[in-house]
Amino acid sequence: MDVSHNIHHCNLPASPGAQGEVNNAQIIMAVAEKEEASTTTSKNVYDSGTPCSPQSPQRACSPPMIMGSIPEYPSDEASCNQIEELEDTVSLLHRALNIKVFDLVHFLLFKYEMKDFTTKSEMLESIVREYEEYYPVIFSEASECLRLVFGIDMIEVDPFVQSYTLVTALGITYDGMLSDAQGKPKTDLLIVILGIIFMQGNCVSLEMIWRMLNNIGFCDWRDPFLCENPRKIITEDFVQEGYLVYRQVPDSDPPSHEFLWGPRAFAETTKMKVLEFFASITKSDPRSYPEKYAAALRDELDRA
Amino acid sequence: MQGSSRRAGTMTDVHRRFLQLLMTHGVLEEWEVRRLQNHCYKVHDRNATVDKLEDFINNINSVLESLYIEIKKGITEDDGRPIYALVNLATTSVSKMATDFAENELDLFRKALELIVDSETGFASSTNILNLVDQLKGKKMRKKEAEQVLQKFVQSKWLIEKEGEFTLHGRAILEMEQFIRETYPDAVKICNICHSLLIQGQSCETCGIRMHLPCVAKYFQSTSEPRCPHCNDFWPHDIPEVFDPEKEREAGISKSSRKSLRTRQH
Repeated sequence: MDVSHNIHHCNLPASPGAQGEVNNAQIIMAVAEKEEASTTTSKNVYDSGTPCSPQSPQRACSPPMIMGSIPEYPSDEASCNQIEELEDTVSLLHRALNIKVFDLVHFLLFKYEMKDFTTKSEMLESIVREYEEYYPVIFSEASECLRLVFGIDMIEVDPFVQSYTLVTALGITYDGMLSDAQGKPKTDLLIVILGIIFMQGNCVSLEMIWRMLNNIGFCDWRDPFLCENPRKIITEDFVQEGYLVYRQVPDSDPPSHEFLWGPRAFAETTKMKVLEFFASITKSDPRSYPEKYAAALRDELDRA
Repeated sequence: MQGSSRRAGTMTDVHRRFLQLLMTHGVLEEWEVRRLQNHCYKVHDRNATVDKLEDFINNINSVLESLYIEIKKGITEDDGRPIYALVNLATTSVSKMATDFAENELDLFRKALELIVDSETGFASSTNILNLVDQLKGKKMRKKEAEQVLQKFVQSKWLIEKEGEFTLHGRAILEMEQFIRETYPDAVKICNICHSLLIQGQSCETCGIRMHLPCVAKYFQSTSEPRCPHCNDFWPHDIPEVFDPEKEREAGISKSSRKSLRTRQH
């Protein structure tokens, strides 16, 4: 990426977790922030017709406590030059780190669109590269940005491999679009499946899923145009996206398989929400399933 | 601390959901965007009044500004429909596609892009593109494979196919205009009216200036005798109709009432 265009720091309030830490990189960023506030910034963007006025977005964060640890300007001229040099280097570093944060945000947005997992090593290799020692700061700024601006959470899936998945922090909902575009969200089908799994005791066979779908008339009153290949969607797409887990029943002979909620489902929604939805489509009250309602309540308490 | 005359907007769950869904769909027409906006309000802030779409998007863009991302609005070159996509402003290459396609596939796209930009009509024939298959970087690709890759591009809305010829989808133009202008400064064509990149359009036979079809439609809307804005010669082509979203909606309603509407409401 071209370093010559001027960069603004991400317009975010300081993250509560970060405030306690005063590590080198943050001191550097704070100093560079002060530096940057005194330079005009302009955006290097071609936008046919629309004039782009140069201005920096309102800064929401300014950690004065960190600034306090920076030495005062000495009266000695040689030391003044030294301080200037330090500030130049620092502001260059600050800009470079900001670029890395943006790169990482773009990279992760792409991963979210593709519903793909990513790992620390992949992020290091493709984005962070020569700034490896700043990885923690870059990573936390990028995650914060994703959460505050896009409502997307980075959930650690495997602590050993340090792999992450990106999920919406806002809960599953329909997107309200008739899915005539290719491969577009089939969240209503997903929520029904999650509901079926929950209602049947958290694991269920494929045959049972079909039976239940027919019972509640799901595939009947849906436009066949929308319900194109439900088998593939359930057994492949939802599994791949992490919403469902399809595994062999332990100690089964002949081997049989079952569906369970996947990690992404746990991250994006709760049993209570699914129960409520399920009750609404069967036109009943969640409390009319007392056992399930109790289980859902327990789940809510556990999460709290 | 320096003050600024334009404050960055505030993001709520309504805006965040909107962004997430716009990203997932890639590119949307204006009526779809309005529906999406309404859906997001319904889900996250039922009682609020729905912001005017332009204000809603400007609000989001003011926050995205510092990330060099923007919700950009464009119009399709063939019939002037407004479309919206989330574009990266800082990267000036085909990088948005970069992680989705293999090296040889990306190179195929670049070759097709070059042919399209160079062409007189804005279209490159399938044959001409496939003939370049031997020159691709990366793993060797057969013509049969290349045909399928081209179809992948059409499905992902980077290219449009018409009768065996390919041109750029509105999404590609939105995303890559800057890149195209920088990479092919001599071959690139510009519309005389709106001054943006032109792939498909009409041209004056006397002086050679070009205009987008929707720009032609607007410019000559109430003129009985269309004349070239540059050399004043008679404009020899058919003047297309200005895109009318109202007519579009009526046509859409009559089409979908034939197939019974079973919208799932959240």
